[in-house]
Amino acid sequence: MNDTTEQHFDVLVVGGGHAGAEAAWAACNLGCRVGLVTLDAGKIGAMSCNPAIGGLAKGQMVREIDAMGGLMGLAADATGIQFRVLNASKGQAVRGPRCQSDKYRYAREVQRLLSLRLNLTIIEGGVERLIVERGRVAGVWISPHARPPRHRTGATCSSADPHSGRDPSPADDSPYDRLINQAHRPTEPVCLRAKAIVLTTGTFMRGLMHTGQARTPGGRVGELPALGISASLAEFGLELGRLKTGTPPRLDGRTIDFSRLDIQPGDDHPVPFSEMSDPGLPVDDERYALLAMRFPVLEQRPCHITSTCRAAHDLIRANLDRAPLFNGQIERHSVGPRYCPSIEDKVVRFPDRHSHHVYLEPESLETDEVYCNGISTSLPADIQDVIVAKLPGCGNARILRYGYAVEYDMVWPHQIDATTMTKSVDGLFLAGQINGTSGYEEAAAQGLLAGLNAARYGRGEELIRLGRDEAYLGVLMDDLVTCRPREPYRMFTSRAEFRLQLRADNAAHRLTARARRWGLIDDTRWRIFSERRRMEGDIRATLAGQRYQGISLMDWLKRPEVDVHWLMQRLDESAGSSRLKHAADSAAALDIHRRPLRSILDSIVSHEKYSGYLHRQERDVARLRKHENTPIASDFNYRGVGGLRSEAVEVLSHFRPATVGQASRLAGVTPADVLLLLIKVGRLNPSSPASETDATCPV
Amino acid sequence: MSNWTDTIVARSSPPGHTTRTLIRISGPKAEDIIARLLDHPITEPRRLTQRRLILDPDSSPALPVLACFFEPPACYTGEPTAEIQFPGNPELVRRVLDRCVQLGARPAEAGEFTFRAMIHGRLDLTEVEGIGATIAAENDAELAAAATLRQGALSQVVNDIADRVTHLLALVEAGIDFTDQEDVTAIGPDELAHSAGQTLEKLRELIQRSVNWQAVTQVPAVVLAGPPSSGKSTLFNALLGRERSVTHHQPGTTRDVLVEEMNLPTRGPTPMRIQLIDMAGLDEPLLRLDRQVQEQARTTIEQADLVILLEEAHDGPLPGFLIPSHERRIIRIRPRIDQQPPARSPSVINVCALDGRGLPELLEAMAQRLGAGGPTMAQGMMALQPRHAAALQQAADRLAQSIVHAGGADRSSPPAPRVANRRKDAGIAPAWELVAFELRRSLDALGSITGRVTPDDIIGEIFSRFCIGK
Repeated sequence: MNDTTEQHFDVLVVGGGHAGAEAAWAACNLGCRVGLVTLDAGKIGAMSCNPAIGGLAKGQMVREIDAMGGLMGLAADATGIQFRVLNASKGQAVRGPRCQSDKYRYAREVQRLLSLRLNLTIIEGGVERLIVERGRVAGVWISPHARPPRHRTGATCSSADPHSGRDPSPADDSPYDRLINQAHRPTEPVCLRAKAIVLTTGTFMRGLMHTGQARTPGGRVGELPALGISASLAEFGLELGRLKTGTPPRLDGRTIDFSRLDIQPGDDHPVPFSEMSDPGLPVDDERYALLAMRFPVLEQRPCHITSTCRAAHDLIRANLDRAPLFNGQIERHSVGPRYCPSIEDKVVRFPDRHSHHVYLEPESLETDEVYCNGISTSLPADIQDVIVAKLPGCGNARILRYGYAVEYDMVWPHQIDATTMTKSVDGLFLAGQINGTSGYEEAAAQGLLAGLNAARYGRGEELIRLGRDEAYLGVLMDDLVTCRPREPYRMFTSRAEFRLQLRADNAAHRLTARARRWGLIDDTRWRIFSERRRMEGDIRATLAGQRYQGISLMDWLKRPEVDVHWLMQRLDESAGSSRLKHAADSAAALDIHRRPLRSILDSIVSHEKYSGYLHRQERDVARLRKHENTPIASDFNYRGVGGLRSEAVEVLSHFRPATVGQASRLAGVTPADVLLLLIKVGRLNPSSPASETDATCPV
Repeated sequence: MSNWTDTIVARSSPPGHTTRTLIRISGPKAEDIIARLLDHPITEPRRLTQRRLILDPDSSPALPVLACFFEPPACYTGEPTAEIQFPGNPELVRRVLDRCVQLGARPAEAGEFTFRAMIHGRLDLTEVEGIGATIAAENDAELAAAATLRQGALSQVVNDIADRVTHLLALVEAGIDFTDQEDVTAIGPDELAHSAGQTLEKLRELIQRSVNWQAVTQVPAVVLAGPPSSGKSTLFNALLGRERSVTHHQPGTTRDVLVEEMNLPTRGPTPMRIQLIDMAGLDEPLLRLDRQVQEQARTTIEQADLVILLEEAHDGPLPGFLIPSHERRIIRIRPRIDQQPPARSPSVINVCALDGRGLPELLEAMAQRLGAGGPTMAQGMMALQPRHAAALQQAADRLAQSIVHAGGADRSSPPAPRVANRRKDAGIAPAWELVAFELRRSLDALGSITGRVTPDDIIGEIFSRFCIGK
């Protein structure tokens, strides 16, 4: 960056977590000049909490990210050390792919992928202030960041952490260190200018960590907080809130007696997240080459299960006054999640339970760190020692890093639109925990959307919103802008009323063609997608033509007792198997029991299974779309709408919905209120209903 | 209401002003629905045509109605519209609305016809200004009705059912979304069948015991009945205290039945609002009345809260169809005592409508009778608006379907539908996502009465029951 004190970008991304990395990647896909500002380039893509990607609803989101050309699925597939589909015994619509990740390799893979983007510049520094000109964002001032000397993401998180594990020894430094080596490190305050800025502050905005009475400012162990942005956001009228989350202690795996514990292995046949993993076709593109060749890439590891005991619960109860959560040390209005409670929370809320499971998850192949899933805590170190020592198998376990709680600033999400752009500052996009969400997947999905829309905003193109019937990402954004969250928002499949439609198996079907039009899908991905689509067409034709007991195989699929195993049996029995191979003969050595044919069969089966129900929901969908995207000006005067009830005026004035669709989903707004609104908004033109191929809104 | 592409139906005439009920259907299916409701299709648009209404082709006799069909743009809503007029009694109105819903219409929401007129450009700008107020007023009325419901027995019962379904859905969702949690023990098929079956029973009971909302909100109806030329119309006008010009015989006017609202003086401070009904259509020689008209008269009289029976001195007993089954609801009078001898029986009031003799006694008797026994509901009976009835039926249907998808058998209540057992017999795993799908739809239907249960409510229910979080 030389010594000039002003640099120009198309899109600036602040923060290098899962939201920031995905935002930068998406904006790069669209060919923008992208700057990514982070406190420490070596921490880009770091897994701050559990070393896992996916799960129920979350796995579906990773599939959606992948279907839109994102990087999370690629990184997860390349670094997963245990793959398991949750709910495998239940219907396809509620199956969620999940993996345990080698957290160091994960971060390094994210960094490697980003380093391949020639239009991306990494700048190390802390954002001091936002520059806003005439209501539009124009840039940021950053200051040099005091950072520990180590750059690479390694088990030695920082010299400030006395309990860090062994040093990992990366097999091959060169492709992984490229990003860190390329990063710009200004030595004095710099002004970075851009038309569009994506803020992904994670837990860093006025982050404060708690372990017992000990309080350390910071967003992650050993890392300093971001202090300037909060004030800057407040200055531009954004109402901030404060949330909290926690993380459990990490153990040294060499000191755990695993032989006494139940084992939890991965699936026999691991299923990847990305369409680019094992696609059955040769791919020579640096981004995908390894995954295309081999999946899974890494050696697979099991997890183990242990449990807390009554004595530990008693100890926790006796020491609640030392828990920041209960003694008032953490601001009372900082709200923690109910679905991910600390162990002290669990003990207090469920006093009649005398044991809770604890899942011991390997964090890396390179170190022996073990993540204790289930005992997230902010209790002081001496209590944590006892809790861990009383876990079966952990009598001699050494704690490498104590659990802690972290509280941080966020922006109440009704202040953004479902595009992730703030309503009050044009060109300012927010993604991830800053919007009150929780989870890597939720953050990454928002990041992708923010990166896409920031790029489009810079070009004066219409911003994209996804519908609740189109993607979990659509549900996520809509929930964020129409509900006041009472805890960090996490996705569940039960949040999606169109769950039967939003499946992991059809994510590419739902999103890839559109994402291609938006510029998110490169030619390599498009080629794989098109080939897969062609194969699916051939297979469908085969299934429609082939009969069993006088009925076509396609029609058999509608019966409840028929599943993919039944179908494969019929295909194996008959000549169908070879006919299928013939149908897909452009791909070498295709086998219906292996990818990609097997996954195409899965997808066809589930489509046929649910098509009847999906048909019944079509009317709901049509209804939803009718004025879904009819815009409402952000300064719309609700008091000026004759007949609107005062409760509705109040709710609408608070949320300031960006569209009539959003307005209709606010609690306290009746259908009649929506009609009155429509009359006033004056967009009633039924003769030309908005064609909803792409949900867009004017910039 | 943000959908304007489907077909809506509602009773359009304001309750109380006429027993001629106007049912209006608007939308693409209007023509089809009206054709299937009538014995013969309407051949000419915009012309009020006499037809017979067929609600149930097998049993009930076809009822004579007036029907009309309008094609866009020459109609109020700007889309295909059909109207049926018939002498209204609440039960009949409900059945006609039900039939329309069966045929594919949706009960209209507040202000929806006006709204459609507006979006189809049938109203000019100045009119549009007034629409907001109209919709708002109707909305207020509905909300007020809903508020009453909320405090009332209906909402208690529906809330209780919604709570059960919420609870059930939470158990099912917990088994889906938190399957990796140690604490969550998912609900089994048999338990679901049992629990859903019980709730379904409650729901069905509620539907069976319900009466039409209009029946209890409508003002009491008082019918004047008697042989032709017994002076019903004169008495009708005398009771109203003014002349009413009506009786020109033209299609589309109230030829058979005349109705007016009036205030009946009472002993209390406030007069009682009633409907006075003159069965003018009976003013034909009795022999010429066909069976349908007799049937109609019988229905009107049976539905009335009070019947004033005009008995002549010299004629024989009245035809059976004029006499209500409950003596309690009859006031017998001897009319025209200026022209014929008064009755001697103390139970008959002698009246002269022209000079007013006997009128105060008649009014007093009416007030007394109505005050003593207005329309009452039996214990546990619910009053339902057509929309509510449709919602409850939908909720019940979805709940039944959820049992099918779970494939469980409920041993304690009537056997689950045959299909359910097929799933079980075939050893097919329960389709929990489909169970949840149906429960969600059931809950949404109930939510249209009690307020929406959101996914967040379900998740909250899960968190309160299970220790989630590993």
